[in-house]
Amino acid sequence: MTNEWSLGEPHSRAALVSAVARRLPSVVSGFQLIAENWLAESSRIDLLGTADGDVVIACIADRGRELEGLGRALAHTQWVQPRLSDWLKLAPQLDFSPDSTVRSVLVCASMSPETRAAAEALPEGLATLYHARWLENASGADVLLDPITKGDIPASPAAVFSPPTVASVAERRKSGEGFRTGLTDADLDLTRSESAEFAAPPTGN
Amino acid sequence: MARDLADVVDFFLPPSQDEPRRAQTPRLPTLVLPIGDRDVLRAALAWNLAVELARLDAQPTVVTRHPPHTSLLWPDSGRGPLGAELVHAASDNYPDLVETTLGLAREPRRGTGEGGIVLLCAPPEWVRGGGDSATPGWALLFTTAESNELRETYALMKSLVRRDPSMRIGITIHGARGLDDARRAFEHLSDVAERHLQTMPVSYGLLVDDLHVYRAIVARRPIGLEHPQSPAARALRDVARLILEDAGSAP
Repeated sequence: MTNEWSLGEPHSRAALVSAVARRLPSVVSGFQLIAENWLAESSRIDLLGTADGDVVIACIADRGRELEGLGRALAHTQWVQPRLSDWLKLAPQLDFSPDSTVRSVLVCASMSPETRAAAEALPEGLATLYHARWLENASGADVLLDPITKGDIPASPAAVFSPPTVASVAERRKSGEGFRTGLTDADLDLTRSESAEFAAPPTGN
Repeated sequence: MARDLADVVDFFLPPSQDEPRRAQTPRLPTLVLPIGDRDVLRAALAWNLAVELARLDAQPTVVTRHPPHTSLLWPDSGRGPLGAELVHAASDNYPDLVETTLGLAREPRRGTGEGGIVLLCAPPEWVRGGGDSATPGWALLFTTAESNELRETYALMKSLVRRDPSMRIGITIHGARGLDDARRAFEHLSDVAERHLQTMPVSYGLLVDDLHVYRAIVARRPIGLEHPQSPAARALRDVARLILEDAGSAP
């Protein structure tokens, strides 16, 4: 095996859960792990943690069983919510309150359109989907977690492609079409004051 | 000596406006990216963009001219990370490279899952000259916000628009100091194009030239896999998403 990353399959579920636990803090802002493999009503929560004052439940679904995983994640949130005050009595140092929001994260190697549609029908933030890819190279293995949003729906396999049309300049001016980006200064690691430093127009144009 | 009117009529009539040779419609979206043979940075941005397209399940194929011209720029041919495929075409001119690319874009086996997109990376002088080539009809130009580069990019736009007035030309600003910097550069370019060429480029966001980009170039490893949450990877993903939105909304 070379140093190039290649796609693979985790050799065990434990390895996948462990890798997801390592990766979650980089994709869920403020995530701190509290417990792994926590017994809930009748099944186990893979990862339980906090993030910015919320309680986060992470469920890792087997390939092809993500819709069932989403249902289980939602059931876990309902099971956890009334227990927060009891948990705080046992561990008052934990970073949440009895009325904290409980939200879920579903991780799976496949994510069917039905699962995406179901997640979109839920209240904002209640369930976030992550597409997991297992990567291996000579020095080890890791999991890549990509959040799935409405904008991530892949291009449809059209029978024949035509280049996107160029609307007339007048029409595009009218519609206000101009610079496009989904990024914010925070995505670029710029503070408001840093951003303001470059507010002056460029020279030499 | 008496001359026939047909012999001199060209002196009195405006140059003929031949219809652009639009390529036979490929099955998959095909995007032209002008990248010089020594342009390590733009080649790295293009390959990393392909990996981000693969992260979005778009099954990209990148076509470049065959080494040795480009051996320093690209990984080995074949299927790379997450299924992004690199094809080195044995072409020594643009029409041939375009034909090879469009042939790939028409292959039934390519992109048989969800989506599929082809990126044709060719030297700017080839793209500018064009020759007797059909055009894929969609191009993406990388430029910094520096005035010299904006001028060169405008010149390239001009040659593309002259050949095919309906070509969709996308602009991605790289190396910008922030969103405002990128927005101003794009709007400047767009304003000049509107006044002189009666066309407007389409914005495809911005890319970040941070340390991760240069490390990825040296290590020849994609930023999206080495540092998936870095600003550079987020920016690449944003550009990839804009491309796919437009590819998906095509009629």
